[in-house]
Amino acid sequence: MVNIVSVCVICICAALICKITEKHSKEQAVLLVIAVSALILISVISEISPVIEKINYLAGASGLDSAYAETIFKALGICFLTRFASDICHDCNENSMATAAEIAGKLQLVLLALPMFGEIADMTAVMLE
Amino acid sequence: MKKIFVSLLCILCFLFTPFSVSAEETADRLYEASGAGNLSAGEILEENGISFSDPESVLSLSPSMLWDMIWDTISGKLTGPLTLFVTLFAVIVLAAVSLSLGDTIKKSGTTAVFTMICTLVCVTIISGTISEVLSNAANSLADGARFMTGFVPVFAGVAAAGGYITSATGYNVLVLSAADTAIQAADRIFMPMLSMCMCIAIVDAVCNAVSLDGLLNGIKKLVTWGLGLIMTIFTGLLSIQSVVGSSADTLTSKTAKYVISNCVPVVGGAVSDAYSTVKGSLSLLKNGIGGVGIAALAIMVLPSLVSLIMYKLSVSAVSIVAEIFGTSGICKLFKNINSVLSAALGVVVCFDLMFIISTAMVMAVCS
Repeated sequence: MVNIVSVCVICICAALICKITEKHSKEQAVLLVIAVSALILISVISEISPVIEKINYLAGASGLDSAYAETIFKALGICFLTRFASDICHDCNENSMATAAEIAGKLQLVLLALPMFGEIADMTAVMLE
Repeated sequence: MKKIFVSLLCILCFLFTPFSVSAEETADRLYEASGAGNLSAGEILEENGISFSDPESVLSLSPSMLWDMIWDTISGKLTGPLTLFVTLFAVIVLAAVSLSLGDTIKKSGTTAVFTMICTLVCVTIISGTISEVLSNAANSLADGARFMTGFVPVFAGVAAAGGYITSATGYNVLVLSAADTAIQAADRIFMPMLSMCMCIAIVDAVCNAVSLDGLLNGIKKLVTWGLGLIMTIFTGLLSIQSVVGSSADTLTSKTAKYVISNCVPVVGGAVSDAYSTVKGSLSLLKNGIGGVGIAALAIMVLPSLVSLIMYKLSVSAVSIVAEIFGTSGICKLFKNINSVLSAALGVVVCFDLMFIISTAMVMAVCS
């Protein structure tokens, strides 16, 4: 299990180091931010799989098709990654890149939802026949 | 002498020549030809001791028997709505857990799309089932109306034979028109309108750019007020016709009795009494037929009605859960679908009550 104390300590230390280094080299500060954030994100994701498995099991027991639960988790992952990328871009004062990341995330979500759109369109056509 | 002998011989021949009379066989053949035995409601009625061939058996129907019948139907229809509730509950919890993972998602621009995906999952799960429920409701409405088109002439015929010609004619014309309208409306107005409302409900929930809940509520109000108006006019007209017709029929009947008892020599009084007895028997037969008809219609529409109510309860419960968990988009979808189910329930209940009340009214007035 991810030790939340370690995570918090790492974050605070990284933030302090960033503050010190950004006066001399802004690039190094940004690199440090990216490295620490990626490290924390990867360690959290590796720990989240039992939670997902449990939720999948509960969803299956309730009669929910696992494909739907999978879609929701995928969408959640896309949202997290988009937000992460977008925030880093904002930190680098690259607002247009942040917007591009958000647009890419939204498009990915729409692509994920496309099969469901198709299913609903088919159902609607049947209903209106 | 010869003439008297021939006449006596003819009378003796007439008296001693056997004629095969088979009223029972004819009744059986008529019963088979009517198709009453093939009705699905007939099996349930016969299980409870009520038979189409013996209308008086309706007297054996007790409240506990009626409740058992309703309870059996409810327990048979419980699985579908419960499964739907549990499945949707799981989706809502999943969506709520995902959305509540801090402000990470809520502050980003992807929130709207993520909420839409959760709503789409709910739409995919619920729309097929609800569409089937609405289709079953339309079919049951049409089946009930078709049953009435067969039942009304028989009931009106017996009522007319019992001396209530004016009331029976009014009942026949009005209820047959209503039944025909219901058959046409079920296919051409009811299902298309509800399907359209269902599509509006989905679009309103999925697309935040447009707000269609006003339109949906407007349609619901139109249906409710329209049905109320139709029901009031129909029952009002039938009540007036039955009451006035019954008075006219009573006058005719009393005049006939008076004429018979005074104008027919010697046996006038006896014939007049016989007329009253026949009239009483026909009245009993009419009420028995009416009772069995009402019971058959009620049993015919009961499964779809129970199914509609159960699904409505299930969707209402899910909408409350969605509101508690703060998933507003999903909550809106369920509220909209609940409105569609309310409209469907209103239409089915209104038409079936109209048939039942009209038959009960003719039974009560023409007694």
